[in-house]
Amino acid sequence: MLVALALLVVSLCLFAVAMATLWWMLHAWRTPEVFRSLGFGQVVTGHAESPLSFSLIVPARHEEAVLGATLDQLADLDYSAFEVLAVVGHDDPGTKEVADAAARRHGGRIRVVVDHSWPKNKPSALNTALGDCRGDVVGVFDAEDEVHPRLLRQVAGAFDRSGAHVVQGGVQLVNFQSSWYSLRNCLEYFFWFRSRLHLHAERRFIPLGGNTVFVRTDLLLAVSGWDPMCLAEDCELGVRLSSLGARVDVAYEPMLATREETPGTLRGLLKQRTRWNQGFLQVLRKGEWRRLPTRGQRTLARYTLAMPFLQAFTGLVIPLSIYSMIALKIPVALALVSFLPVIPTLAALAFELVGLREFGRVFYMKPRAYDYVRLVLGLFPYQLFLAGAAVRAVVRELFGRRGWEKTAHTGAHRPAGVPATAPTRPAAPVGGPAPERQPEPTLTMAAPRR
Amino acid sequence: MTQAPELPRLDRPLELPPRPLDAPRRRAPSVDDLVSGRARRPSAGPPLSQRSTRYARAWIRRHRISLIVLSSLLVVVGIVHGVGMSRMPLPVDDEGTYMAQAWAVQVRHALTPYTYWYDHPPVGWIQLAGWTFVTHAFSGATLAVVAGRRIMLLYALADAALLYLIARRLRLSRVWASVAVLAFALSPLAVNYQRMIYLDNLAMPWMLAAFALAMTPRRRLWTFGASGACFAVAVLSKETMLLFLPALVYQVWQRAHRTTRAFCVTAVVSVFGLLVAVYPLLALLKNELVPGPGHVSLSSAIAFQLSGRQGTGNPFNATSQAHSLVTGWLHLDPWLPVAGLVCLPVGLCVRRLRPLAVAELIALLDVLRGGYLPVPFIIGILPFAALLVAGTGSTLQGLLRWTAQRRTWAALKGGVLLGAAGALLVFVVPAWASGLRTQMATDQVTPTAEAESWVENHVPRTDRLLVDDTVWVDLVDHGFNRPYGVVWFYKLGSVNNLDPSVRRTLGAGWRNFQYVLETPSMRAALVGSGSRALPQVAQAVAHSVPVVSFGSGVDTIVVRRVTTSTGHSSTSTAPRTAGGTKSSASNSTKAGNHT
Repeated sequence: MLVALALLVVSLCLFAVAMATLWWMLHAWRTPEVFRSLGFGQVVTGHAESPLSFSLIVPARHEEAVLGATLDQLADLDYSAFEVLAVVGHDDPGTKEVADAAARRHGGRIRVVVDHSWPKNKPSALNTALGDCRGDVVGVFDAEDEVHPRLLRQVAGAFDRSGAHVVQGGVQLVNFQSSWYSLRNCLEYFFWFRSRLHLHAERRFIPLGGNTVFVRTDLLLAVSGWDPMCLAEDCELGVRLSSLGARVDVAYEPMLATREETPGTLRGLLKQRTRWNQGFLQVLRKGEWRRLPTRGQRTLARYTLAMPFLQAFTGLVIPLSIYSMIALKIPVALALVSFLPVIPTLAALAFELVGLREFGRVFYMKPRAYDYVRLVLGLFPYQLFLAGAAVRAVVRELFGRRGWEKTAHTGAHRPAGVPATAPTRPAAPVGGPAPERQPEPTLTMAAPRR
Repeated sequence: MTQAPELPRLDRPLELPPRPLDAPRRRAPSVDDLVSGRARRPSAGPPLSQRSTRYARAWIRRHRISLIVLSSLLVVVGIVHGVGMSRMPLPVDDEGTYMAQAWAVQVRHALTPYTYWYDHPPVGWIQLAGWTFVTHAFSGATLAVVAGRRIMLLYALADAALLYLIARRLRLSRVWASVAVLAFALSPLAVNYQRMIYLDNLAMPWMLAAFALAMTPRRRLWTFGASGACFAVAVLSKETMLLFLPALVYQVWQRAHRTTRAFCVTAVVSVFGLLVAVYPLLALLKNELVPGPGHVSLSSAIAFQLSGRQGTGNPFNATSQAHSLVTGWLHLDPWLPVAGLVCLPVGLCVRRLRPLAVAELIALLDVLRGGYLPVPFIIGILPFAALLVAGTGSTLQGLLRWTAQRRTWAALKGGVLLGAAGALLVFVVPAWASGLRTQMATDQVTPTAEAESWVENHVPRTDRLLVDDTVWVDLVDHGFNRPYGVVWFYKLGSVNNLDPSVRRTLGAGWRNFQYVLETPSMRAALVGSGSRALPQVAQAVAHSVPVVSFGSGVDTIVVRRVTTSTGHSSTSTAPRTAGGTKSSASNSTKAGNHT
């Protein structure tokens, strides 16, 4: 009886969680009008006399393989008033050399900032560079990002039109054919940036992404920059600014989204996901979100920050409930109720299949039939994987292990034939096999954050 | 016919409103305000209750004309459907079956009084059980079938309201929307079948709701999901509704906007598919998905419904059951089905009517297929026919208005309208008036009630009765409640019965029974090959003598006492006198008709 009651309660809770997740995942497609409204829209012209100026910070650590090309791209952006600040560690001469070479190639556009702080992590590097920023707006990019040349024009337009304090641009993993998990990872990004983030902006509680994020410099200075103690500094900043009442505009246009790659190995993805989950947990514990003005926002915050764990729980309980149904011989009606969470889960799978098609359409990459099969087959293993990462994050946080587990980058998201300024960067075609991973440094930073 | 203001502009492209982002926003707070916390105060809006009241008031104000029109229509529908519904048409065994199953759900917390053998998905009579619980239908005050028919009135009203909504969402004027509702509600054929406790009637509002939601003007994603859910309820109430799935998907595809179409279609199909999957899951959990020794199974039930069941033949073959069924339908009212057929080509040509035309076309093709044609199948066709008639009328009116702008055609407009109105008056109105008079004034239920009360007053509670399902609940509720004290006659045979429980328990066949309540349904089941399929029932009738009879002609109900001696079996058996006559196809049912 007690088992039956527990099963009933757990099933109903999981059903609610899965329904909410599904509904938020589909936020952008609620109506055609909503779908159309969620983009950069037309470029606002006529502000040429006093354009917003940008300071773009690029923290890099042991990333000589990809940094050079990224800096070249940034220096060549189609915009008038901006500077690029490459931040390198004082103990990382290889990367510094690549950054210095790029600075020499592009005259005054690029400056190199050496970060002496210890221990090394991304928020410290960002804070170091913040003091040197001269633009009206600070933007953050990662060392391996592929940035669209017209991005800054669109972002400036978004600032002008919305009057927002923060503009979050799109980020998209694109190497969806590298492996089964990269496919799921790419779709996670797609649904997050295309859809879910807009919901957060609308409700005015937003965990910001780790790059292609633009914040007004005066505001950033007034709140003393990023939290160097947090593993998810981007999310933390978003939550802190949201609870102050800052306006955030999410501007997503597939063509302009910054392109990234998934970690080369499942182990790398596990470390990255563990770090995010741990970061979310830290933000949840820090409690800035409690100062959000409305109850609805606080609920959304609590729910969003706890999401990795709820998600993990769902993944674990579904096989458990199937087992209990077979083994415990529970009544048929109760067994039917305990199947409830499966309905939104499988509906989400159906929408992921449609999402993959849409993803292929807007990024001009045609998914093969095999990719659809892989998406279906990957559902359960990926749930298990997410559950594993969530458990790992909780354990690490409990034992006080808060070091940065750096994600290695190889450039799998860059199409072959991009002029390689950095000689060591291996060029891998999109959809090709994942190239060999770089040896993983123990204490570094800069990772794709959603 | 008045010129309605919102005449359809055919296939006007759906415009998107201006983008919300372009609208000027409230000024963002300054950095000082942010840092000092001044920006954190929530903007105070009116409380939720106040907002919802305001919204409801605005909604009523916006729709007040439609509300007035619709409520007057519903009064008409209620009167036409309600007056005489407890007397006409003749109760058939299916009605009793579903009432008995609703009774089993409500009283015994089981899906059926006998073994549930997956003849139909159970949601139909689960709904019915909800209503019988609310309305105290099994209090014994009336026949169970009459109590059930009162519930069907609610479904008929829901059908009418949804039909109006669909017509309005097709951008028909209020006049034409009313035409659709009245065509469906006043057709004697529709009235006759909508009054009966058929699963089709229990599924119909859900099916219409699925279409109405699929025509959402705002094209919200959740509306499409809700449409899929409604359709799942419809299919889980009556599986033949599955035929309309292609039409529904087409409707969604047509209504959805290009940018979100894939997601809308996915919403309908996935919600529908996953909810319907609960049915096989139920079978799986009961370990009844595949056949096995000693239990019924879903797969054998499906195999039976699809291929095992004897087909009713080609409706164009004058000797087939399907022929007599279709002529029976047309005998009640030829006008609505024929008008629906005539308007079908127009419906296929006009874009916004096309999904509904496709629905009707699928149903018609299924009638012509020559497989098993269930008696109440017509219920699923009529609403589409009514909508197509109204849609065609509206389209013609639009064309006429267009041609009237050229002077040469101006005369034609009046001519055609006058002609149509004249034809309506001359042919349809008298036919429907007489049909409705029959529906409202004839009494075919009283013999059943009289037979029941005679049995209750004269038959010992220890005797076992072989009955038609129609009276089962009433007799069980009135004391014949020992196990297998009252038995559905077709449970003794092999027709429409994959449930072996009765044959197993009552091994002695007809010799177990002391009384037989011989009804028109039972006689119809024993006609022709029926006596071979139901040998024990035929034997029970043959080895019994009539004690008392109620009613006259084909509707006679005879109470027969079984005698062990075979001597007087041939003296005065009622089947010769009543069952032998060709019963009117409109009301009688086919062999063990368990649709």
